[in-house]
Amino acid sequence: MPNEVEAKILVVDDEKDTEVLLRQRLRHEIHSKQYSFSFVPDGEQALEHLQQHDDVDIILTDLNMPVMDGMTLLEKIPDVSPNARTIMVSAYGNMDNFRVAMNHGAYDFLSKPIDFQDLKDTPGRALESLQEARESERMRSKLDVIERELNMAQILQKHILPTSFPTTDEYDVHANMVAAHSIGGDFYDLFELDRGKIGILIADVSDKGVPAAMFMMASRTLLKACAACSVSPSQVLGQVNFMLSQDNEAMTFVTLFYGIYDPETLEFKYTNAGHNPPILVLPDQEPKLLAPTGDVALGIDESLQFSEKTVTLEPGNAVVLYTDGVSEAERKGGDMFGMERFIKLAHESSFESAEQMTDIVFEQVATFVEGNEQSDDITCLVLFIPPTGSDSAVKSNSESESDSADNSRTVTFPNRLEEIRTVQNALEEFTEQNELPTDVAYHLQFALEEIVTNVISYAYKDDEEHEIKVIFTKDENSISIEVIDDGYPFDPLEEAPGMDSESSLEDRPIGGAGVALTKQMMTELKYKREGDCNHLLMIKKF
Amino acid sequence: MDDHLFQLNAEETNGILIVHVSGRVDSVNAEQFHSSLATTIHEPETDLPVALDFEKLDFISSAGLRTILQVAKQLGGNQQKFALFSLTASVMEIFQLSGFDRIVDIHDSRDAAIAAVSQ
Repeated sequence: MPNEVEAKILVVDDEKDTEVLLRQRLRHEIHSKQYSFSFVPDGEQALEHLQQHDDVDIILTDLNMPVMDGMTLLEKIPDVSPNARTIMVSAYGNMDNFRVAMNHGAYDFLSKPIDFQDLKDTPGRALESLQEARESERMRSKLDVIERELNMAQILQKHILPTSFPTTDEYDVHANMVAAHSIGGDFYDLFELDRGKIGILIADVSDKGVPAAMFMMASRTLLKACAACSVSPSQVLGQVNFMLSQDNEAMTFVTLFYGIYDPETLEFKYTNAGHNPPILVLPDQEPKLLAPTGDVALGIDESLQFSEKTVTLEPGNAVVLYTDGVSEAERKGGDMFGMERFIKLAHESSFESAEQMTDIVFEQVATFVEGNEQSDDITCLVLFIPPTGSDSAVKSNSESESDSADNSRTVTFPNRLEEIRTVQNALEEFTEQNELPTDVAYHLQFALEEIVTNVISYAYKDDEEHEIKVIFTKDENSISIEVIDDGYPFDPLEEAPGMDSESSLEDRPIGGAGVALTKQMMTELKYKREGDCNHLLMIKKF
Repeated sequence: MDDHLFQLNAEETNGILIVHVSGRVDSVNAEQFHSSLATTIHEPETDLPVALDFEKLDFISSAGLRTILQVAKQLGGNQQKFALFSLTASVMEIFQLSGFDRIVDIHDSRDAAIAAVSQ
């Protein structure tokens, strides 16, 4: 609500009652500093007031007044206060006057006796239109500045990335990053540490553009300094987090994976601070995701302690670090590269160096997206332990699913937030009928609410009523929920707010965490645009 | 409207404000929940430590999580201790998945929460 700035309203009326009424009826708005009022009895004094106060937002004027009437005043307002919006007030039924007033540039009108609700709504509307006008003016002049800033940020980002990689008999590291047009804040780094150890890290800053680049620089410098002092990833991240969290008013944060490989013990010790789990590629075996250490992104809470886990790497193993730009790379129609494909690729690729593996990932992603414009940075870093003996074999193991539905239910409801109850209740019934476990039911409720709320809040640009359709389907060992709406093309998986720099952590849907949590809870999420409708399919296996 | 799907009951024990929360907190009623909780917390004249009893909280969505985080930050800024206790397994999982269990003080029992906030 626009209570950041108090709106200044000038009331022009010769009737004393108006002042009493306004002060009475809008006392909450006045008290909460939404509105402040000044009162003058005629047009001439109004002009004097406007000449002395150039910050009046809204002029609420009567038509019939002594000295100078409302219509004359209206004609003179543009000369003194070109930015103010004028609302005409007059006795009910005087429609001709209103028409003339509107033609002379009045923004809106109120009829007397003043309707209570109108009185609350009309200045609000005028104010919104005023703010929009001012905002678009401001944006125009800001746009080219932003364009220049973006270029600068992109250069900064490129410059901090290492471009030469160590290759020894014991390990081989390679990495690459392809920046998106509106840079997303990815970076990677590597540190050659004492006793032949190597530290590797990959990170994704929550912000975009210049703020992200600045935060990235700070993170990267702190990491470099702390990494040199300790061989414990959790200690390093603890220290960096402590420093990043202080004075972090914008609540920018960075998800980060940091691991240290010791060729002597073959141990890889790591801490995962809210980042995508790296893939451990094993010859002759299914790849695994490195188990999370349960740590939160850096920059949020300075008091956090971090933990670490250790895996033993063997010759022929590779650890593939990546950012969500890889797993969420999207082709036209909304299909995502996805973890399943990524893991399969890691499994089936044969490679003899970290560089080869890195190249394969980028090639495969490029082939997959079919030239679709990249919306996020794509970053991948590979640590490869060269084999001492023979190579790995290629095995394929594809999953097959039947999609025959034996139980399905469709619910439709209008796009109002309170209507979510309808579909929530329907889902509750559905999960009870199918005797689903409580945790599955909870996850489905959580995900459904998240997606539907986002659709209602962001997919519509008009005030019309729209219908949202939700289909629940139960298969043998999975439940799918499809949400269909006829709003503007909107993919909640990508576009739900949360990564903008303008709002503080409190104002975001917890840093996009709502959608992020949904992704964790569901086995599969797919968005597609079909005809004039958005389709979001969620599948939960159990 | 039937949006009051949550209920708050407050009690004061040994200088600690315990608020029993029941029902569900989601995007439809998160704002209402926030303001009711803020009113309840600021009702006592002194700034007491606050412990929220989540035993009967059946469902919380991301909008609800955000509210808890806001309250935690507000109280933190005011040097008031704040803890949650007796979360159901499902609600606890949401806190764990989001990593908020590391940010908000969470305890298994009422006694543990009271002990933590009265330090």
